Amino acid sequence: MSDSGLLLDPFKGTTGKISSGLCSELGLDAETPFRYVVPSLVDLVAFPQEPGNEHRETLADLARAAQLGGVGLVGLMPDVIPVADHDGVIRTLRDGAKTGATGIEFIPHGALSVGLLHEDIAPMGELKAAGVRMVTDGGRPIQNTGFMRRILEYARNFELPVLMRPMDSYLSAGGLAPEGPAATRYGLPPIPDASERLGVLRAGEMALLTDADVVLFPIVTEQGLDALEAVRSRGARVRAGTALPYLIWNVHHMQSYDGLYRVDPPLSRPSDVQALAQAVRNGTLDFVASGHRAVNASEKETELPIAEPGMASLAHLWSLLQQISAEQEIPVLDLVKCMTVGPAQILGLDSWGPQVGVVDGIPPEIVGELQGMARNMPDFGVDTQRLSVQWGSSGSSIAIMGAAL
Amino acid sequence: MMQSLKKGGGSFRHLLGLDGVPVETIELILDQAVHMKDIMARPFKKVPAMRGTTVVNFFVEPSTRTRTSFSLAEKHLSADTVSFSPSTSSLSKGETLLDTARNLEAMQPDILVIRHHATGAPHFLARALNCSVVNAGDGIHEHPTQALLDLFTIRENKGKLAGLKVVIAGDIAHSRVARSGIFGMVSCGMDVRVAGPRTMLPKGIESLGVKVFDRLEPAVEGTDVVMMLRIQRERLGEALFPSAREYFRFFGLTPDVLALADKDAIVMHPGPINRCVEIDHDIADGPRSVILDQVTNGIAVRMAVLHLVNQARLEALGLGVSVTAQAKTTEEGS
Repeated sequence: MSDSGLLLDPFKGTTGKISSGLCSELGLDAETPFRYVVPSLVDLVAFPQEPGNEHRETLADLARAAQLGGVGLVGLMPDVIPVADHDGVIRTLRDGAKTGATGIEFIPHGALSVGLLHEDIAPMGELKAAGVRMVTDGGRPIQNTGFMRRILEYARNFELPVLMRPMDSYLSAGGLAPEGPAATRYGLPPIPDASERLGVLRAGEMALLTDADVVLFPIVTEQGLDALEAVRSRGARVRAGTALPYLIWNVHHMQSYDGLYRVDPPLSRPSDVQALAQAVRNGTLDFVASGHRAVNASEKETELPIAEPGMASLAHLWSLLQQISAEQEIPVLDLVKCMTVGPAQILGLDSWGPQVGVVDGIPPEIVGELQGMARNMPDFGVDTQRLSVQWGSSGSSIAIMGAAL
Repeated sequence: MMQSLKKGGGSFRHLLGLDGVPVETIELILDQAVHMKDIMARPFKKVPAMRGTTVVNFFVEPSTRTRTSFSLAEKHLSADTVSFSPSTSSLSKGETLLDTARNLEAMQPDILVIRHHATGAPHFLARALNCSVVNAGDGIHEHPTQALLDLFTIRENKGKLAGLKVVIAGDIAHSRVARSGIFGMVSCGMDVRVAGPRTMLPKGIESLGVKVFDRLEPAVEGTDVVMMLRIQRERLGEALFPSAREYFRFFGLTPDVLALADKDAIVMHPGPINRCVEIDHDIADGPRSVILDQVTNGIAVRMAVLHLVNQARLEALGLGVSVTAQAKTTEEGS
């Protein structure tokens, strides 16, 4: 039993020692030197590829990746083919978890507009009846503010939070880097900070106008955070989060012109990474999501501008959290809060934890192979020890070991 | 790119860009180009320096002068060459860039010269392939051989580079010529100014060590070199400027504007020129224009680059000789 192992309870905000009794209670091997014992995580935003792009990743593989990453509940974005704008696709997505892993739960987010075309409002009532807890633009920002208003008003009717991407599509068109010295030096089409800032301010104004429950994702710039605080100070009900890659890599990694670093929106400046880390520490950001998006190797091994954006981060989640904690000096407990308490509250699962969500009967050891799974991830933290996840057999607690994958 | 060249040394396997390349390396290339220009002046302008070396010219983006210039440089050095373009390659059949390049490499070329519309495409291929890669222009990023021929032309006319005042005017934001030029000129100790309408000035350009002007007249004042960039007419639809007529009136190089430069200032342009859009007829054809010298020097500089890249390749195979000895051999070979 490792003396340094920590029991992290994000709901109480406490840190304690791992005891033999606890291990026994959770069905964990008391002899294993666990680094952390934590509740299983909630990943609010992952991009499934099935149906429509199963060649990239099936729902079964996504569930396996979640298991490897210690994630018990995965929120799925709706931009699959066909778009998750009706209950049939919602059921397909929800049931997909069972095909890959026991005990992993998918919560599909409904499309806020039919086909995500932002012309007609999606049947939100039916979507909610099918189990949807949130609707979203699926990462395709609404540019018609009048339509955004109607969406927010209608979603308010069904008490559905609305997750939107804060961005001005015209300012961001074709961009591969934040505007500034790095983009200019590397010859990358730039995106001004004003794009995200305008997106936050516009959504904030609409939240005030409609009293809707607005969730913004992803915030990737310091200017976006500044705008977030501005709209909150006016009383707007706006929650926000970022994705893991933006807490690790920055625009200078794009100097390699390696498609693995292509994410959407593009990686930010080092100063933005620091501001995001501070926002996690001080609670300005409510959640951190994986933003997991699997793509094929051939879609990455190509010219940077046409490389498919996305990183398949879910299976590596705990290794990434460990690296973020070390590099950005964020206590692991704060990161865990952003991947349990924050997203659970947004989804209305306020008591997420051992008693909610993941069922008993999870195999005690699921340190799986990565073979056959999406690998579109750049190298990270070669000096950082890879962490693997062991699930407890009781409730949704998981244990994180320091063993190498 | 910094990693593409060995700092302070003469050996390099790829030429991907001039960002981070030290003045010593640039001078080595320019000195080598002097020898190459001598060769070009001879009645029989062919030396055996690259005999047995295969060069593939892979131009995914249209090009006339750069491709011709590389092609002549390769022939002068006795390399075996093959040229590909999208219309004559499997790219037009949907093959990916990587697959096309791998197939080309399977034919065992030694050097790949690539022009591509995507920023970073040469860097991508340099990582993926075993042969040497020379960047002949990638997206809005770099065009290193153009910058080197510009430096060569300036040095040839002015006798030095350090301390000279140069203005680069036009669409700086979308110009790979400007970026490579800035990297090279700043590295060589030149006082670099950039000028253009604000819609064509990228944010943060001053971080590259240049002074920024949004009017042409003050930027030209007292300069030794005036370099005009081509205005791409296709950008008319991007709301960067209202019309060719207005551009010429406020940002075109006219005799009145040129009069503000040093009396011995030279006028440069990477071509192709748009007469009476960015540059006046009389200036383009006038005594201070070195535009056609740039074209001639381009061949010499590309000969130098190919020769040095090839030498690094041979050194890696244990077949190399020193730069000095190789240059001597090159001269004797004629």
